[in-house]
Amino acid sequence: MAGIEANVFESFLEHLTASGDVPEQVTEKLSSALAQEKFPKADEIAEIYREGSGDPVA
Amino acid sequence: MIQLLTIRIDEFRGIRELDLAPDGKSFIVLGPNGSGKSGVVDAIDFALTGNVARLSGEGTGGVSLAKHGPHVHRRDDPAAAKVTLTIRHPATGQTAALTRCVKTPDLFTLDPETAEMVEAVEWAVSHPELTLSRREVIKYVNAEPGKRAQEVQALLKLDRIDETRRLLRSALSKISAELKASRTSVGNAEDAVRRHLDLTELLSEQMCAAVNAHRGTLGLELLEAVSPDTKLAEGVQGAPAGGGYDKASALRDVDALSAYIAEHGGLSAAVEDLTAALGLLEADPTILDALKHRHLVEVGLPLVSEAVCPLCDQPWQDAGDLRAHLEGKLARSEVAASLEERIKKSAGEVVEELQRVRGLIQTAQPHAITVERRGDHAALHDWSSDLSAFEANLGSLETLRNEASRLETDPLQVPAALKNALGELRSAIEALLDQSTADDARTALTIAEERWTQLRQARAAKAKSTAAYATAEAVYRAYNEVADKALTELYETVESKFGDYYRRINADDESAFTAGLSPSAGKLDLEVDFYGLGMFPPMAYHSEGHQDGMGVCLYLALIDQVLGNDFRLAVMDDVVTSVDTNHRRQFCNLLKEVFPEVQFIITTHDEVWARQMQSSGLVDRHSLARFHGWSVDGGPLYGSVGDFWEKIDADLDDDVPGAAHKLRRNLEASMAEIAAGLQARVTYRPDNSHDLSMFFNSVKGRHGDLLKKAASSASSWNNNDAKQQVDALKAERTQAILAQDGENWAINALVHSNDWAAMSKADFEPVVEACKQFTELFSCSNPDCDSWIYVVGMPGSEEALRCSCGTLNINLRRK
Repeated sequence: MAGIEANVFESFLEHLTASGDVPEQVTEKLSSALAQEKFPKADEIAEIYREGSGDPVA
Repeated sequence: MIQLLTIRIDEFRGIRELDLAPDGKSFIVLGPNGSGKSGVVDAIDFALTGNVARLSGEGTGGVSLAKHGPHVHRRDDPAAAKVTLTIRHPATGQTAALTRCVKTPDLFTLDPETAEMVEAVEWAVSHPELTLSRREVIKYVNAEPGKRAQEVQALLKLDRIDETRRLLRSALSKISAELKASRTSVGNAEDAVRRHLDLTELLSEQMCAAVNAHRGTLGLELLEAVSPDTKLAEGVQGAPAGGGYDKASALRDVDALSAYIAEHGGLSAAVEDLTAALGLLEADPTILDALKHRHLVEVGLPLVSEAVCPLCDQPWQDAGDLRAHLEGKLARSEVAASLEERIKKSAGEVVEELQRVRGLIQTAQPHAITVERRGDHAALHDWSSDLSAFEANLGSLETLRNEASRLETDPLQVPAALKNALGELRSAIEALLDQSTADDARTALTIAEERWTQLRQARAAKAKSTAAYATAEAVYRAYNEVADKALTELYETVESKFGDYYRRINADDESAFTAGLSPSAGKLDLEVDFYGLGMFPPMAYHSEGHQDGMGVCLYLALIDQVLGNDFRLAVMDDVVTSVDTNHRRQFCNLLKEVFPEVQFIITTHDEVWARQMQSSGLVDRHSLARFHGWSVDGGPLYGSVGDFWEKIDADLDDDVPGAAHKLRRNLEASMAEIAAGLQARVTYRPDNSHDLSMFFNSVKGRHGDLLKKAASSASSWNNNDAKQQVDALKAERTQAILAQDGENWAINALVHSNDWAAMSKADFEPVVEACKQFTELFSCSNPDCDSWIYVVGMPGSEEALRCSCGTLNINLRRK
């Protein structure tokens, strides 16, 4: 990523961190997944949301 | 960033062998159509990126770099086709020879290979937009908004922003679907608990009363309240054992299922709406057709750039008609899309009802085992599986249509064996011996606990899904906010630069021009001011020439935004063909003033445009390669300005006709430039077909007049130095004209009948010398000065005779 895309990505992560609406773990994993050259699948992103949000289901 | 010092092309496209030396400066490749100019552009494109834009992408079916990159005579030998550029990295000043061969287009060699130069080449590979043709220019202006957004985003390297947006949207949809399913699961689990405890509400007080009734029977501690974590059957394990069975609860389960089978208004209503919507779909085949093609048309419409369908290659008379046809299809499919949405909604409601009945089957099923009616158990199981498969088929329009008949006749399809069996199952349960009260209580608590646990798990899953949805929604919203803000700022900047550049070119008639770029949902609308009468799409009222101008200006605004200080090279292949002469001069000024650090390699077939680039100072006099024609076997017939006397000398030994041809062509071009610089009068020819005969006398006469003016001026100012300088120029002129007069018999042969080609070397050598001497009259004495001498001031009020380096600067004004 370069230029404007990189700026948007960086601002996006800052926005997530500052807002407090998104668990830290989700922000970290999203940061890593979206920075890959090969784009992740939507299922992988959904799994990040599931894993990082709410209490674990017994 | 990168700039080009030399270009060496071997057996590539229409070129056999060619050397050019732009030397890091702006450079013109001039020649008639079909003379091989675009081959130079392709070669630069190939050397820098490993690809040739003209041989890839849409509209290039069957053509490829590997097959059609090499010269046609070397088409089976891609190793012979190669391009070498001597490139300079302006930031470090490093230079290297970059070579790429068609056989291995992805590989390049650099000599010397330094980290900075490797990085510079890799940078160039990722910037194919450095090479631009008219076809590419116009796409920024005339493309449909969706396609424009794609093109602009690709140029601005923004593709990933849109991809990220779509990815996050897709993930949000998945989580949303899960949340919906988890809500249904909770509803089913609550039903099961309510039915078992025979309650209407799951309020803590009611739950306590129902559960404590059983706990009291077993002498267990009574519950004060029921929370999700409450163990309803706590202590039951320690109570007296018994093979208990809660008959009443089981009967309620079976009754609930029977009642649903007998009366399922919710399902019927949802099915009725669904079948009605499906009926509309089936009644009009064009709707279905529109739906099937909708996605295809959505993809295809932005790709229409010529009068050929981008989806099926069907030729059309006009790209506008094709675009209108596809837009019509898309509009018709809007109705279809709305119907599809209704079908999906109704199908979703049917699915919820089916999940509900499967929940009822699931709770009734174990009772069949208890009363040893294994056949009923199997029938219930099979029915549940059938409903599950039916439910799955309602998930997509295609499979859903296959279920139309079932939806219309009997969506539940209760197995025949079950129709009486549920009544028999109920009788069998009823016939069970009554358990002891203690057994009843124990069983009731055990089942209550089991279902309470299931409800707790369903609620936990729902809470998890709700949290995941909140996260997904917050992420998606955040990305949109950030991306929209960045894109809006970006487009505002581009819009402002675009307007500024266009105003510079069209200051005479559109000095108040403004433009508006509006990004929206994957589209990019472009509207431009039309003489203060409103904002319209560029194609609405502006001429083709103005549109060309807009295309280049928008490209420059975009690329300047993307590359910033790294913008040091642009290769433009005949990009301003339709722009008129006056506006092209302004375009030269734009390039020169706004992009002084950029090396422009510009091809054109237009002599006037080439001269404008030189006279404006955008390109110096030696930075021009003139292609006179092209042949399959030889490639471009080529002559550069700087070395044409040497080439003529070389030809004199064994190719007088070749020397004669070069001399005439180059004199025509030089005389035209000199005439323009001296403001000499030449009979106007609308087709610009001025030949040598028109220039010689005109230039000679004007030069003489200017020297007279110079002498008169020097006398009026009593400037002896100037007088001497003018006298020296007059003496040179006399000599040159004498020499020319001496060869007049031969020069006239050239001028009037093009007979030089038939002369011998001995005859022709003095002609060449006389012409050389004559043209030198119009050059500065400084060998490093590139320009012809030119007049400053308007005809009739000439101010000075100058050259661009300042060595010659003669006053023409009298005191």
